[in-house]
Amino acid sequence: MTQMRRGAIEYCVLALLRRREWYGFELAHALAEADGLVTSEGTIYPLLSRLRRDGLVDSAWRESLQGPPRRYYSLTSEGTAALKAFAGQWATFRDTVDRLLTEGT
Amino acid sequence: MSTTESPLVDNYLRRLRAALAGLPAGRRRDIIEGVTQHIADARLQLEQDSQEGDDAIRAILGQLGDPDVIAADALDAERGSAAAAGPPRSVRAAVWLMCAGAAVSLAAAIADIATRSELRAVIARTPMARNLIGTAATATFTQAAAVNLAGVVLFLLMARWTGKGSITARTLACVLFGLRTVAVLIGPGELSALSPWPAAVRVLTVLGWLAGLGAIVFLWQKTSTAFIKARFR
Repeated sequence: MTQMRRGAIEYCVLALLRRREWYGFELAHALAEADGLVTSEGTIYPLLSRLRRDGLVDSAWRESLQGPPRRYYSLTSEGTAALKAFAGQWATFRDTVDRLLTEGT
Repeated sequence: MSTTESPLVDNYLRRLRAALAGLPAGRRRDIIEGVTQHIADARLQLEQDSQEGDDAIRAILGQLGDPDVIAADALDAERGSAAAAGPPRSVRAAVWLMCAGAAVSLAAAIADIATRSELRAVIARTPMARNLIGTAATATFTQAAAVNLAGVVLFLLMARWTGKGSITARTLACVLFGLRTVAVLIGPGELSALSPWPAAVRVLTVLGWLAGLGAIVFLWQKTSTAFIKARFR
């Protein structure tokens, strides 16, 4: 379950980054508020580091309007492609699991 | 600014740093940096709402999660992805060096072939019975070229196996490197003296040996061992 949850959260992060750049604190909050998808907000930082290593996200230090400079994360073209592939597979996967779970009930 | 010292935060970061000890250095740095920034951002927000206090800081740290939980999650993911994400940099470096070794061996084989007639001329100048010169030239050429061509094939095969994380490949690489070292120590005296390109041959021999040595060193690094073990399991 942890592996599956972790895998799914990675793509949730990629999905959030599709529209704009985010910084860590924002991402952690968004995921924690999304129905407790993330229980320990700190786990997002190893995840972001792995996504960066795998070339799915990029990051850069930016000045912000308020507060100190922050590391902003953005989606790379590889990340966009991975997200697209996942979105396609996820729909089929979800439907299959749903069908099997509800079958015979 | 939320740069005020907080023993609670310091203590939390210290525990996190200790818990992350098993991770690669780059990952550890990223996590510490991210969490430190996270805490600063959260405290900034508290300040704006003017409710900074120890309880509020405890709430921030509580939401971040226990350092051990974060570290366990990170380590678990690292192990899970180690096998799937492909070889780490140290293994890739070893593979690269093996390919370089293959290229050096190929260059040496080409040098052997290109200088075949000169080799014959060199041998002809030695005080050797005329009827033996042809045989000696052919034997010397065949031996040199065969060794170098075998080097190309072996280096490429080893590179392929190593990239797959085979534990046998690492053992075999050590054995082959040992043999090569022995060959380098006893072999080249005679050959380089005969070859029309003694310096070039010597340089290529040393380069090939160094490529092998480098590959072995990279293969015994911690990250390589972790990769091989993850594959082996």
